[in-house]
Amino acid sequence: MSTRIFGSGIKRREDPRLITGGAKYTDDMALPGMLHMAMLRSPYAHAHIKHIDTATAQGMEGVVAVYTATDLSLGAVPCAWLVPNSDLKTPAHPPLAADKVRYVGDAVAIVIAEDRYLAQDAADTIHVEYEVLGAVVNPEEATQEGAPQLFDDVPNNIAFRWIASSGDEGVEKAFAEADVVVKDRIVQQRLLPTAMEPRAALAQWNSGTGEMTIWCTSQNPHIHRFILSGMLGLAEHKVRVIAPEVGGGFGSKIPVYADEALAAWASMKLNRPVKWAETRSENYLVTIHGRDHIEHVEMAATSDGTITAIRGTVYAGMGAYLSTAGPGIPTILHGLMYCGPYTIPHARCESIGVFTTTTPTDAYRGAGRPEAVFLMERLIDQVARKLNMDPVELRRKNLIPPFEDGYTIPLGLTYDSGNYEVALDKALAMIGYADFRKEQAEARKQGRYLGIGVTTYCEICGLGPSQVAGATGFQGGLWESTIIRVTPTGKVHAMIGASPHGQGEETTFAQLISDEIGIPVEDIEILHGDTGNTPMGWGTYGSRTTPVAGAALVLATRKIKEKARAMAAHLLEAAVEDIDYEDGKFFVKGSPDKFKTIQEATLMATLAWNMPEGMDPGMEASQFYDPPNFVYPFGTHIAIVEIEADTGIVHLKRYVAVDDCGPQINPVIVAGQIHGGIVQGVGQALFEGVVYDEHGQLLTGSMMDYAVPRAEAFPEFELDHTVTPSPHHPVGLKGVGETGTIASTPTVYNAVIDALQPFGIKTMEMPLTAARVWEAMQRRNGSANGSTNGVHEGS
Amino acid sequence: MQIQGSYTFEYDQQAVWNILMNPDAIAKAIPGVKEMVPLEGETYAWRAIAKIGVASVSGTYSGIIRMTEIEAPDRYRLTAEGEGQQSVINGTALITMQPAQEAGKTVVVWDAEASLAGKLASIAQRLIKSAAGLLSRQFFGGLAKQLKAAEKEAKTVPAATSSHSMAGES
Amino acid sequence: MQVSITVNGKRYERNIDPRMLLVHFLREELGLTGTNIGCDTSQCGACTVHLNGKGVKSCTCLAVQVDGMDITTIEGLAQNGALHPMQEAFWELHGLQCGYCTPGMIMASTAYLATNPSPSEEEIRGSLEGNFCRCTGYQNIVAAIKSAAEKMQQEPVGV
Ligand code: FES
Ligand code: FES
Repeated sequence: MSTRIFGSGIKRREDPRLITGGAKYTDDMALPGMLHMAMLRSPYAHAHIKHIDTATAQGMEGVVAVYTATDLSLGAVPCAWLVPNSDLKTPAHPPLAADKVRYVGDAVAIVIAEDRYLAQDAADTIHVEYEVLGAVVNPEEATQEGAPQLFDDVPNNIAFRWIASSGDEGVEKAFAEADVVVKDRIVQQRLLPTAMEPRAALAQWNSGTGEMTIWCTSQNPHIHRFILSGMLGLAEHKVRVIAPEVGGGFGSKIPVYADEALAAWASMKLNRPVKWAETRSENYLVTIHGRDHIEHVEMAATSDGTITAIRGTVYAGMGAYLSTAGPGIPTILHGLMYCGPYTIPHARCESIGVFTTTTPTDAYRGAGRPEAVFLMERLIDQVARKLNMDPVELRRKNLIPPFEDGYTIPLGLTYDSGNYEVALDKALAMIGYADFRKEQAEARKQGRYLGIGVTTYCEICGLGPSQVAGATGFQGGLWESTIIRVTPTGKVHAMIGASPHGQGEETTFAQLISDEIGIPVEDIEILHGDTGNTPMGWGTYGSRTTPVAGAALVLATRKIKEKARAMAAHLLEAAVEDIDYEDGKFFVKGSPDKFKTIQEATLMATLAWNMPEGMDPGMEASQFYDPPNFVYPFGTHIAIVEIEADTGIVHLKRYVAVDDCGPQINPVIVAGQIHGGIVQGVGQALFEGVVYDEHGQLLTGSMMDYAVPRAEAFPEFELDHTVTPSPHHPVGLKGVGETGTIASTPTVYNAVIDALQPFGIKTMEMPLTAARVWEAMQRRNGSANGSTNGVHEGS
Repeated sequence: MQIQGSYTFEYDQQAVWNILMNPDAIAKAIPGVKEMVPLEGETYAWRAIAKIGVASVSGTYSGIIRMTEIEAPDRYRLTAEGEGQQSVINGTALITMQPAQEAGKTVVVWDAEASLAGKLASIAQRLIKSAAGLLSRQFFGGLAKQLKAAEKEAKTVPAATSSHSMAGES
Repeated sequence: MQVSITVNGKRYERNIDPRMLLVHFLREELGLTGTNIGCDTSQCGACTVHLNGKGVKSCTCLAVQVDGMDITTIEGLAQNGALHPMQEAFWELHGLQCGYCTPGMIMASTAYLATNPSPSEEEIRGSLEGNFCRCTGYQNIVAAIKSAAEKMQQEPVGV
């Protein structure tokens, strides 16, 4: 048998168009008669709109239309994750603000013109009279008495209050009886997802057929169709959403935004194609932001290092409106993961969603789990320090022992499979942990500050059973479906409802199919992104495409295989039970030279001249797949940093990652996901952070001020893996799209704090920029007396 | 955003006062100002159009410039309100002048507060803050140049001195 | 304004707005949409092209400024249907995911190799200072550039 295609790091099939400039992203498209839309956005974070004067813009040559809220007949932008038992408030989010703006960037008017510069110029002439109101950007402060109120019917700006608990009594008791308790206040700073391709939409209304086609930067075109048809008041089958090439998303292209709905509405109104494309600065201003938690967390342990309880209160900034999945992030995807990979018997998370006069937040790579893993790993290091224990040994002591088929944690989730300690040991061996400690001690004597950080994580992904989606208030299902169609000559079209945008499923899914039925990957095309030619699916996010859509694909392929087997049996005049399969060939048991290839079986089934009794012609299968559970990848990441004493610059010297996402279809692609994830997570630890001033003005509104990580900040990552299959997936796959981001932030953060031990620094606010680290070191040296700037000394 | 600074002119206080009250001179010295037209019914207010290029928010801004709290020849307050490029600019500066230690020179001190809103704030606030010193120097340097030019002119064509209508004299 | 610009070996005469950026000229006037736009402050490098053989960010110059000059975009890098070794290396070593930064990365790194034909890993990372990628974590981009450099040392190509 030839080398198995499953597990082989073949070159990606999507790349030829991407490396030659042949790929078409949304903004690359143009249609005859196309108009351009520009948005007029509020310069104030919070203000009443007194008057809008659009006369100048209306009169400009080349301007086709100017619309404000009063002109619109378009539904509100809905929130689609209505977390139950949380007293959730869902104030309307109008596509254009009518009487009040609630963040800088809130749209007030749109201009449609013959070209995009003209549209922008005309928007600039619109004069809006505002009555400026107070701004509030900090979610904890927004809940206090006297804070500016965004909505009349949302007292104290509290959007929801949600609690997950293993039992409050048990939690209280564990804390009361603990030998040690550590507490921390963690600020999960706001982040800008920064997909390199900004968002865009192109809408074309066909008044003759009553059909609307929308090309847009979406991670989930079927969800876009579902929601946009509702907003536009069109029947769903008359709306076609196409996500062409999409230049990254990281969660920011999940939500349905007002912008694409407005472009579509304008196209209907004017009966011409309308395009809208944001600039990077507009992207930073209005595309969702991530994180934004203020967390008060604590951990209880006994003196021998057994963790007995963890609890936290989270103020989660929702921004000015609830984005599509916003409320689900700091609750379901965060609070339920409070136990991590550890045998912690008692846990409680209270998550308070808060409106602030800022850009709405939603899922950003990892979404809720990075925050959970971060606080866990921070607290563990602090417990270890307090008990004078090695942080690795403390982790090891509390890890859940290996399990192959289900482990239920106190918060109710059942992890699918795990073998945490093996990954930990592998990573420790790779980094040479024991030796490093010696090196560190030596270095300290010479005034060099080395530090190591270790994270043992597990996470929840592969979203997820639809029943759970329903129970947690997600306004959709979370299954996937696929149609596999084999042409008469044995080529394959596999249509999936999920919508990859860089993750490489055009390759890995072809490998999955090829592995099952022996058709070469060159003969397999994975079609995605177009609701017009793909079956329903809920999209690409939450590391779910491979675990969920991949499972549907495998099961559909197996249906093809069984039909082909029956066809071959018929052609070979043998009983189906007597037909064996290997490498694309069906043969009669024991006589491998008497065979029919899958292509021959397909051709004969398509010609249908001579079908087995009761078999329909053709070679096609469809499959829906609703996963019975989530998947729980895990692993250990370790970082070594050195801090320059004179400057506070953190040098990331080594980074080891051992991840377990089950069997890997294509290890090269898996590694790529982890590399990218690590850099984004380290970005949060060291470089990235949104800054608003007290008036709600975004000060990090461009790449000049928002520090997107660059190549030179990183060493070559050292990767390895373990393989623990998911028991419930047809081929054992787990997701890997977010693990790098989830694990790397606390890993690098803990390494920096470890390096700063001689200074007694216990915690600092992220990002750990050189200035911040330097100041912390100076303060401790007693040679500077500046502000505390987010630095807290240890005791 | 607070901006403070000072500038020493090589002219006596009255000359400096005069030029600081001259809208034409100011219009020429403010970086980017294209025109300043007196507002009807007000003596010390002008409608101004400026072309400012900061990163990608370069473009035209329009607004009102006003002088208030005038105490000749010692101090006045300059305020500016402008909008454009989906941004709003508000600024107020208290400008005081006094004779320098060295005879014949005048020190101008300004204490300004500016706020930016919208796109300009998100892209350019930090740039502007770091550029504030430079811009102020450009402004006062520009005025000094004009004084110098006027002086030269006065030397060569004595009659020309009267062409500088001094707003501060009224 | 009348300009004459050679792009990928073909001369284009156009009458354009003097304010038009080179990147818009390429994308909108010539329909060469392989050159991408990732920012509006000249940071990201997605728009990098070759101008008389040197790497430039095409969002930083006006089309009229390059009148009479020679531009190569990602569409013009492959010669006679054969991929440039840099394109090959990006493909071979998984140096791209969503592909949005890729044309800029490839154009910037080919221009860089012209100035430093066998760079160290550290030098390569440094050379990418003006090119952002949000997907790959840079590791495979660096590996691709290194591998292309080695190949090109053995079999030099035109660009
Ligand atoms: S688009 Fe030119 S540098 Fe970003
Ligand atoms: S591959 Fe997506 S930004 Fe580089």
